[in-house]
Amino acid sequence: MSWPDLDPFERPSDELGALIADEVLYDFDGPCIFTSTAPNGGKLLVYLVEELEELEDDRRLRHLVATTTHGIVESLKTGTTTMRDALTAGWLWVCDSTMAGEVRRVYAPPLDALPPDALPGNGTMLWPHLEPALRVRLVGDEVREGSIPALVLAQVGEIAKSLKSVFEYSARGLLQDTSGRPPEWLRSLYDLRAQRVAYGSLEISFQQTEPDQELDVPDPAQSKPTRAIVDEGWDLLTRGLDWATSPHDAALIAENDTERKAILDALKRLSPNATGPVCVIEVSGTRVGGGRSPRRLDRKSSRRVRKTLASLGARVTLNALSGRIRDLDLDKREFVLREIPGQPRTETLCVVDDEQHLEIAKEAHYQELPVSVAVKRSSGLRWEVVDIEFGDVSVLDS
Amino acid sequence: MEEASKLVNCPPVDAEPASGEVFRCGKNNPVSGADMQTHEETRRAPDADPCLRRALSVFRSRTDAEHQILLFRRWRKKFIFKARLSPQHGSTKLTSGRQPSHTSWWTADGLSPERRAALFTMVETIES
Repeated sequence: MSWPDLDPFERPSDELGALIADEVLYDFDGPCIFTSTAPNGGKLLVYLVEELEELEDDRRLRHLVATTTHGIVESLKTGTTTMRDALTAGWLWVCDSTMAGEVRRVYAPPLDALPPDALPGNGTMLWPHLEPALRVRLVGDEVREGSIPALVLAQVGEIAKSLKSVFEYSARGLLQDTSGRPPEWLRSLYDLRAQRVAYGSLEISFQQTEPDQELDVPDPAQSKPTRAIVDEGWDLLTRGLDWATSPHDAALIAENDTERKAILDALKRLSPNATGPVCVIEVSGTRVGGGRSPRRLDRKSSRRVRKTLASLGARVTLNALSGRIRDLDLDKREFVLREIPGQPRTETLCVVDDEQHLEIAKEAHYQELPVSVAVKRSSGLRWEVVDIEFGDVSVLDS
Repeated sequence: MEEASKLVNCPPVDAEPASGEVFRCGKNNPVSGADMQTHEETRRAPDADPCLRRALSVFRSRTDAEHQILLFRRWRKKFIFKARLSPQHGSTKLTSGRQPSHTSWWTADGLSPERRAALFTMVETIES
């Protein structure tokens, strides 16, 4: 898209000063993004839009120049503000200078007069290492700035857990019992931190914490390197996304059903629900395809995921119990449920993943309160807590 | 050019013989000689470090190149080019600063912008 006629917006060429770089933020064949100081002492953010090549003997550089603050520049450096947001946060000028850096023309057009590609891509950070590992954009008619349904936030919580199944699968050789809560070292590998929240629809950027050299991995000399676990986990998720968003109705390629289920469990958390305010979730990020366009998981993708999950015929046992929490191991996040009515000698070992559930378990343990617990077991020995409430369980007669 | 040729320690003594893959983004496919000119050749930024003005910027990482296209959608759209350098093409030095794989490439004497361009082939198109 070409530039509009900027002449009506022309300003004095000395309005912004000489645009001498104070701090270069991005350098490639010279400074491309830098800060400068305006004649009035204000801080400016300067961004190279393009080299104008209309005149062979008069090549010029076109920059966008925006008012900025120390805080915005710091946010750019830490990846909490995108380059686009930084440029559009204040006043904006278009500035043409010679290749030698001499400012020739300054314009102050309205933002909507600029060609769309004059600004950086949506969500793009200043430096590549700040790009989020995973970026999701939740789209729906009801998802609007200032009016985000709480259900949508619950869905974000699910998305943040989407890596759990594929990372557990990737670390399968290191886990003695795959049921219940994974060990802390593994959790830290797939721990996603919200880096940035943006509205319009709802966009969340997640940063992955770098694997720590000092992770308490069992037998680190013999085990699979943590980097390999991380890479395999993300590769499995990326493969799943390719399959779920493919226009072709092909089978999900996997080594075995366990791997297939791990991928599908991750996709289930990432996909929109069958009903509700979110109808599309766009997924992008450096660990799921990098520079390629976001993948769109829609309700058709969700149906494909659930249908394939159901076809695997994985058996899950559900149970509802009540009793008292007598042993609580906060390190392993396990408790033993005893004094189960009608089963005086039975003990049930339960593992807690959810933080809210753990808080209730702690309270019940310390105050000696009875609890009702819904648990499930897909494999292994331990029961995984699905829900927990204070009080005795009430079982409906069928 | 004559003035620049008198520079001492340029390329820097810790620059290494060029080798391995490098990436660069551009607007035109195939890449042209005009896209492969140093600042000294385009007379850009005359006050900058004179030795760096004789170098071309390249990335060692394709990821960094992909990010650049998204960051500079008009300046660097939309092709990523790759070249495999060898010592006869000059010398290089990692000059990363804030971009992890940013590398300065001092091209060999006699390697014209057109011949530099001929080293590169397009490996990816990014629609941003």
